[in-house]
This record gives sequence, structure tokens and C-alpha cells, in this order.
Amino acid sequence: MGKNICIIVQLITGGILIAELIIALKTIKDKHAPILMRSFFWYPLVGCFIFCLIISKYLNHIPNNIGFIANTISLLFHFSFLYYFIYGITGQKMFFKIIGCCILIVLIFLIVLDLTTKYITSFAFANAALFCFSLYYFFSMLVNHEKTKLNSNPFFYVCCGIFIGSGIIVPTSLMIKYMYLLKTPKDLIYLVTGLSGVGNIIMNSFFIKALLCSKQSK
Amino acid sequence: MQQTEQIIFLFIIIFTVLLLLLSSFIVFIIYRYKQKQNAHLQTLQTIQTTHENAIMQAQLEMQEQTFKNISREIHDNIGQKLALVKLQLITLQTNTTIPFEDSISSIGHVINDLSDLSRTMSADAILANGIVQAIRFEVQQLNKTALFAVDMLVTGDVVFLESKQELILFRIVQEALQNIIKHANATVVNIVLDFTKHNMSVSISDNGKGFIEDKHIGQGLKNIVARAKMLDGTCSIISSLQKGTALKITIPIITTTEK
Repeated sequence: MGKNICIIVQLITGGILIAELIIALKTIKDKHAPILMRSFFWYPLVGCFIFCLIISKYLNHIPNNIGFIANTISLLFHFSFLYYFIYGITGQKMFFKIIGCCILIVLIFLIVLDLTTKYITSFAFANAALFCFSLYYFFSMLVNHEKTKLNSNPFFYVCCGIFIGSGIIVPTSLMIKYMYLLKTPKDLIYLVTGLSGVGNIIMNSFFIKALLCSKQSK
Repeated sequence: MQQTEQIIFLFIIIFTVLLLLLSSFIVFIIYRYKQKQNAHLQTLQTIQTTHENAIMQAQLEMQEQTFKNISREIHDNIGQKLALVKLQLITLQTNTTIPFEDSISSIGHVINDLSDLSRTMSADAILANGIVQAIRFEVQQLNKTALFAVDMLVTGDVVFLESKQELILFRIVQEALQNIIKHANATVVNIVLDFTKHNMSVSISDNGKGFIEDKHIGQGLKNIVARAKMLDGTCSIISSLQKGTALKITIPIITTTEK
């Protein structure tokens, strides 16, 4: 049952990523959309590529080590891209840049150390950092209280996505790690992995909403 | 098997609670943001209302000043000239040999004075040709009273300011001149209007009795300072006893293409 849930969640994620990519590609030429949103297509593009690799891995079309490389690239890209996005919308402050670089270095170290456990710790760490960055965005938004309406602000939706997505991914990932250590039945591990995937689905759904908002901002 | 189902159930509950917590946080952020936005809007509205009230007050004061000027002009100038013409006409009734050109000339002067008066009737008319012309007209009126000699100098390239800016600035000049009339006992007043690329300054100095700056700041001067601030400008007042007072207002130029 757990494995089936996991596969269904992966397939839904794939579908959402494809939809996101299509909308993001349509936003590229939209001159009214913010520049950050116009370059957002890279995120679903890489996501779709990774999704294809995962599918190929399931179908045993690619060797395991290529899967690992793809996972590494995916994790680093996921963190760097979303970090750069929040960095761009929070006013490009120096301390934020330094913190981001430090976290990236720690993340690379964690990936190297985490090779045996399928990057679960690194994945949780990267998402915890993103969760904190999105929190920082919300608080800076409250302090600066801009004139823009939140329901038409694409950056707000992106940060909501990161916040809720990471908020789900971090505890579930840590739980998976803990379950591996306790040698819990695989079915339960798959179930929690599926729940973690739900976080991903929510995150990408918010990104779609953000992309639609940036198209309507004209 | 039953234990596994319980664990699954527990996981789902934890997941739901987590999702609810995260969503609640977002809702809280939206609520706080809207609260702050509303408070900010209210502050802006208050500032705008205060600004509009100040402009209305300036307009009312300007009208009041204008009516005072008109009243004085009718009583001291036009009334006197008409009384003289009446006397000349009464004399003409008994003595037809006296030439009546003097009476015609006097009536001509009265007509000119009335024409000048009609121009001072509204703020729009005063500022229709810009602040420089408005102050020049005020100077002419003051020179006619012979209370003191008023000299006016304009330097730099004259630009038309935004109408509300002009109204408030003109009211500042009027207030300053009224202060000189009421308190200064001056014989000479100098007005300098200086236009630079980004700023405009008005300097009004007199050779009157002056005052001790910290002690004698009256309502008139307080109004001047407050209005200068309202125009995002600065106001400096330098005064020394028996030497006179110098007032300088500098404001940023907000140009208009209306005139």
C-alpha cells in the first residue's frame, strides 16, 4: 500500500511539474511579469528532467550511480535556485548572501557524508534552510509592509509554497531517516516518503499559482 | 497488522496537524499584513486630510487678508478720492468757471484702483500668473500705502510651481509682510526670490526693530515655519534688536505645466 501511495504521489508530482513548466514557458515572453518569474522556468525544467530520470530508474533503464548523480544535482539546484529567488526578493542583503553561501558549503559536505542514506539528511537540511529563508521573507514583509496586494503578488505565493512544502518535507525526511535506523517495515517508510512528496506537490502548486499571478499582473 | 494500521493513522493525523499549523501561520501572516496595510492607509489618509485642511486654512486666511486689504483700500484711497470728486462737483454747481478735468482725472484714478481691487478678489486670480507676479502685485499694493519702501529682486530662471505650493508660499509671504506691518516699524523691506535647479528660496528682510528670537515667536511665525515644513522646505529666521529681521524659506521645486 505504502509503495503504491509513493508511486501515485510521484506521478502527481510529475504531472504538476509538467503543468508548471508549460505555464513557466509561457511567462518567459511576458514583459509585464517580474524578471525573477520570467526565469522561473528553470525550476520545473530541471524538475521534469529529474522526474524522467526517476521514471527511467524505476524501469531499470539507467544505472544506480546515474540516479545518485541526478539526485545530487536535483538537491543542489533545488536549494540554490529557491535560495537565490528569496535572496532576490528580500532586497539582496549582504548577510543573506553570506549565510546562503555558508549553507551551500555545509550542504555539499552533508551530501558527501550522506551518500549511503540517499541524501535524506542533506535534503532535510536544505529544506530547513529554505524554510528559515521563507520565514525571513514573511517577517521582512510585515516590517516593510509594501503597498502591493498579497493575492496578486507572485513572490508571496512562491514563499508560501516554500514555507509549506519545506515545513512538511523537513519533519517527514527526518522521520524517514529515523525509520531507516529503526529498521521499520519498508511499507511504512514508503508511506512517509509519499507524505513527503505531498509537500512537494503543495510547493509546486503554489509555484503554479505564482506563475499565473505574474501573468495576470499586467 | 493492526499495529501498522495504527501507526499509519497516527502518521496521517500528525501530517494533517502539521499542514494545519503551517496553513494557520500563512493565514496569520496575511491577517497581520492586512492589519498593517490598513493602519498604513489610515495614516496616509490622516496626513492627506491634515494637508488639505492646511491648504484650506491658507486659502481662508488669504481671503481674509484680501478682504482687509480691500476694506482699507476702499476706506483710505477710493473713498477719499470720491469724496474729493464730490467736493469738486459741488463747487462746479456754484462756480462754472472751474475746469472739470481734475474731477475726470480723479475718477480715472478711482477706476484704475477699482480694477486693481477686483484683481485681488480671489486667490486664483492672484496666483493666475504665478508666484512671482503675485508677490510683485502685493509689493505694488504695499508701496502704494507708503508704510515702508518695498524692494523686490528675482534671480535665476523663474519656474511655475505646483498650484498648492504657490498658494502656501504666497500665504507665507503675506504672513511675513503682515508681521512687518504690525510689529517691525521698518522703513525698508527687501524681498529676494531665488530660483535654482532644484530649489526656490524667498528671503524677506527688514530694517525694523527686530526681536529676541527665542522669546518672541508669535503665532504668525509659527504658522510660517509649519507651512514651510508642509512644503518639505526649511525656514530660517535671524533677528537682532534694532537691526531688523531676515526670514528665508527654501522649498524644493515641484513644477507644473498648467500655466
